[in-house]
Amino acid sequence: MTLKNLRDGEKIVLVVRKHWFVLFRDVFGLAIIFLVPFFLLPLFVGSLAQGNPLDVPAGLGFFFASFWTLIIWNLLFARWTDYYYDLWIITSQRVIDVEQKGFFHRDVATLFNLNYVQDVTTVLTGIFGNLLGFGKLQVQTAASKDEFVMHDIADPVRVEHEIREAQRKYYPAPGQGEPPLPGE
Amino acid sequence: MGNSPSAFTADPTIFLWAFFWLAVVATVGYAFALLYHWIRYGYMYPLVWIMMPIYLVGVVVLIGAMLGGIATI
Repeated sequence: MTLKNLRDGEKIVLVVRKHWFVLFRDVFGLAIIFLVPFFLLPLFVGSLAQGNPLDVPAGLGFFFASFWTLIIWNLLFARWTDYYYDLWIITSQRVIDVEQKGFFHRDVATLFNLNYVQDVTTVLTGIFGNLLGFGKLQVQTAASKDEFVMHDIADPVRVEHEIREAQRKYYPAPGQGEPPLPGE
Repeated sequence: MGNSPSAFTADPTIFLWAFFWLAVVATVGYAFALLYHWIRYGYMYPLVWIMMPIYLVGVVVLIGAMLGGIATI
């Protein structure tokens, strides 16, 4: 991965996304929405016919099936883009949060600097969170905002390890390193 | 006189054309937004170069299928 706004000497340590189950959950919801008309419309048309044969052209069904599939197709790729574009980048100096909120709203911000990290905690909640190993990562810092939470993160234990390793490697003593950017 | 066909007999497919253009307009909006993001930030996200042709082929096929559906009526 390349990132245009890295600082001098800054190296990418790890790129983290939300767990694939987050995307699967949304895609599953879309699949349900996609299938509903295929079950409901025959029932509706059948009730209109009231036992008599109703002459519905095959092309009509084909048209609306294509119409509905196209709408869901667009929503599916929009959802995938939203998922794929959300990420956290752990670098040798900081953790960068890249958040895509729908279309045309993209936040790229330094979440926290590694030299200000005081404690990192992982929390796995729920059946799927524990079975599949995703959850939230809470980071306590000495910055003005003292806690940062990364939700639905894949393999938070590994991410915690990487953050601690990067901190130990690049900032052996707490509070050392570059000062935080204005507003952090 | 009373049994003569109405001068305003509607084309039965006009309803379908309305849905067709609705889908086309929505798809143009989505395609613009998706392609904009994929092309602009593609350097960070390599998978978009795989997803882009899949998406576009799907759009073309589905719009073609809608036209095919109208044509058979």
